[in-house]
Amino acid sequence: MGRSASSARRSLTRRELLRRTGRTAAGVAAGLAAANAGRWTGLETAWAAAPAPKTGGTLTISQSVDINTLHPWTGTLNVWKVIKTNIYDQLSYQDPVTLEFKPKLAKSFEWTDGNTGLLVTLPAGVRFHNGEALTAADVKFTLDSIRDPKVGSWLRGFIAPIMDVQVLDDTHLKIKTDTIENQLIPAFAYVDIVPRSQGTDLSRKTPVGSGPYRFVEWVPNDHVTLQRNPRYWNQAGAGYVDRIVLRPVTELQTRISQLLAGDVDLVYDFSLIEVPRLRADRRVELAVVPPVDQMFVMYLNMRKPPFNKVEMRQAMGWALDREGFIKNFMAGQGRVDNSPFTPKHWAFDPRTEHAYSYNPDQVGRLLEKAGYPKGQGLTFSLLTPAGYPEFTQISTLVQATFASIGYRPAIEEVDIGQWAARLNQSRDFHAAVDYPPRGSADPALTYAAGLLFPPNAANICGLTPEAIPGYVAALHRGATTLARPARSVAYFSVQELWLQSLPGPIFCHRSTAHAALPSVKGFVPHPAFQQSFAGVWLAH
Amino acid sequence: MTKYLIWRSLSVIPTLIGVSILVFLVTYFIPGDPAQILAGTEATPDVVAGLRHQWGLDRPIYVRYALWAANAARGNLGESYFSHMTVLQLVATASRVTVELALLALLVAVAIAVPAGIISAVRPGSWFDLTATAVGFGGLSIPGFWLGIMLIYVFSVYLRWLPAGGFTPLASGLVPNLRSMILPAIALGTFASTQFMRYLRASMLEVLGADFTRTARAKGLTEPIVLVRHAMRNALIPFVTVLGVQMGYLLGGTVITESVFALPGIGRLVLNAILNRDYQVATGIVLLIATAFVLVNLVVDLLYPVLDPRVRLGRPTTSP
Repeated sequence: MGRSASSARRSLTRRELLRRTGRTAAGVAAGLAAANAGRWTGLETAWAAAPAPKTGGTLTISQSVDINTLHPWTGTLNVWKVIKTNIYDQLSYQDPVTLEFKPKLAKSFEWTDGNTGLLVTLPAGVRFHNGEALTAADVKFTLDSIRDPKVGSWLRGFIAPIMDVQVLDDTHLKIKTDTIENQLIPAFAYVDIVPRSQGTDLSRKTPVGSGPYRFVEWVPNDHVTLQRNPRYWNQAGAGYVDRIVLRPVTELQTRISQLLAGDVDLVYDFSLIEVPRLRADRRVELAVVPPVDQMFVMYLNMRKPPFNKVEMRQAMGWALDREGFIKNFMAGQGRVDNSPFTPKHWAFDPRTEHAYSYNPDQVGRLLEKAGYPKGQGLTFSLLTPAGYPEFTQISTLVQATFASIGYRPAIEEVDIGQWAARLNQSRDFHAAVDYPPRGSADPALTYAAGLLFPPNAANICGLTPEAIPGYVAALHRGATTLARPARSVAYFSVQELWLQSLPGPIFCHRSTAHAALPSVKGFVPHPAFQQSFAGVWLAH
Repeated sequence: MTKYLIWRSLSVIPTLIGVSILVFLVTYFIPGDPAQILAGTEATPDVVAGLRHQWGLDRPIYVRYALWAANAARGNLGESYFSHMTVLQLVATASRVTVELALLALLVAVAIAVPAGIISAVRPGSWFDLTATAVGFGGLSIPGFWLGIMLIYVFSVYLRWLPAGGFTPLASGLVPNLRSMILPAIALGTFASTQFMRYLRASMLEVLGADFTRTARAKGLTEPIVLVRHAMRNALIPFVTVLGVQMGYLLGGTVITESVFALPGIGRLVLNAILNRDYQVATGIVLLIATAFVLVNLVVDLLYPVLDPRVRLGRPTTSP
């Protein structure tokens, strides 16, 4: 990404961008909705298009759970991502409508040194909430800290290709790599820049960032309060509302009631099953984000029978009635897919579109081929976490398909802590549904840090390079080549190889839904939860 | 007597040690790992290992217990792996909500149960008695979370009289505080009120048929005086005992009500601690509760000799 291009982009203020984004969002959504009629609904209201924003007021937002840490680099919950996106600045951000990654705190990114160094230029005059100046040294401190395994950041894998970070002066730094690494700029959207004076033991400290809102307090199980940063370095991106109060409310019906009663202004991310009901309610406005980022995947443990056999993994690809699931359990707010990407994404391979669908007869044939005729001798279970109804619903539909053939796998419902430990640590599972994110990101990041297969070190399924010859090489080509056509070819190859071996079937993408009072203006929902509220204002 | 007091007081120590070992082991053997939960599924194994080391979770169980027990003995129950607030801090904040909720629920339960129970007993078989009995059985059958959601729909969404969940602390004013607690108190108190009502009705019926009530009437006392001075006073004695027991149940039964009404009380704190495998918080709270029970039992045992001389003198309390 060159300097001139980014400076041209900078001539458009963020505020103008948000306004235009809102209009574009409505337009794009309407167009896509028409193109995918019956499959999903786009943004339904042009909230961002309202004129003459007002300042002041308190925006009260309901979230589904409480945060569990104040550490910007270790907390993984979406609710925390939403909050910290407003407290901290990140070098880049993903445009919520075009889904492209663009500079945010950084003025520009430029590959130099024969494509082994990424030059990052920062603006001058940026200050943290504690008054300290934000310089290249703080960015270096942040990146180096995340790379340190002792810090315990889940983002370590995101920026793993970094070999060294060199500070050139206060506003320039160079990030050294072995070669071009396409995952880095998208990964920077997740990296919150922290003052080096704070050290790395950040979970014990009040968060100090440089974002449009500063942290005020966290009362566990009750609320998090943010206050507008009046000295935000980028006035065009400064917030409108004075305070943001985010309340964790676990009960879905209570969340919706709070909105209908006017006790909260915005319900952020609620169950899709409530979409038809709220769409019909004139007291609220609804935003359904197109299904582009989060996808439903079934992890299959390749380390042991029966999923060490490719026929069994392929059988799982044919076992789910995806259309039925989307229609009956997600109120139609999803899209059937076999790829991490959707047709809107440049890396989407159209040949994946109908690779697997619902076909119980095919499941029966593959079982026979795998040595389990009519399910005889077959033993496996489906592991699901309690509190995630969609996971259980998928597991139940798959269970029904196998039962129709002759074997009924058990569904093991355990709490989320046990589920995570069995997937990541003891590997004590056969098959498990998950909904990993980043289907809308750059494929280099999607594969490195979205899906939990190699090159992601989590490697839940136990996939080895030998299991899919050519797969790792194609991934590497895609991640280290700049030319988009060459990258498309590489990622098409990745998707096709994946579908042949099928370490984990990708079933579909899901939408996300938000609802607000009509007085909430300027809200542009982010498909990957990098949610900024800086453009939101209250009309009353 | 002194020997008994010393022996009984000292017996608390092994009990508490036993409880602490049990609580620690139970949390240890629950599958799951706070480091994995915090780091998420996308974290690399070395990152999870780093967090485990940082929190001392990679040490042998006996070392972890010894460190924890030594700190607990000094009144330090540790801090949350996640929020890094101390357990005592978290409990102090959350218990205000839970205790207030339980007290208000008890008030609601008594306010419903006492008049309903007395009128039903005074007019047995009347339309009021039959209605109260039917409503009482209904109250026992209605799940608390359903009643809570219905109350929210009626009083918050449609009538807009009261907030639909959330807690306003007393520091923000008595009225806002009570407004935030009325619906949860009704939801929690309704179930208890039906039990109270049935108990009080039975107790009153027994007292109204007793000899001393008949004597009071024979003396020519008016019915209200018989009812208030003689019947009610006697019927309320066992009722108060039941209230005390029920208060404990109300304190322990707030989890669902706190979740439905989004109240930051002890119930949600414990639930989240267990789900997050926040061992320090879960263990600390369970130990605090266990300690409270042990100490209450100790006080009761120490009071026996004061109340019953036979215990003091070491004589059997029942006939052979």
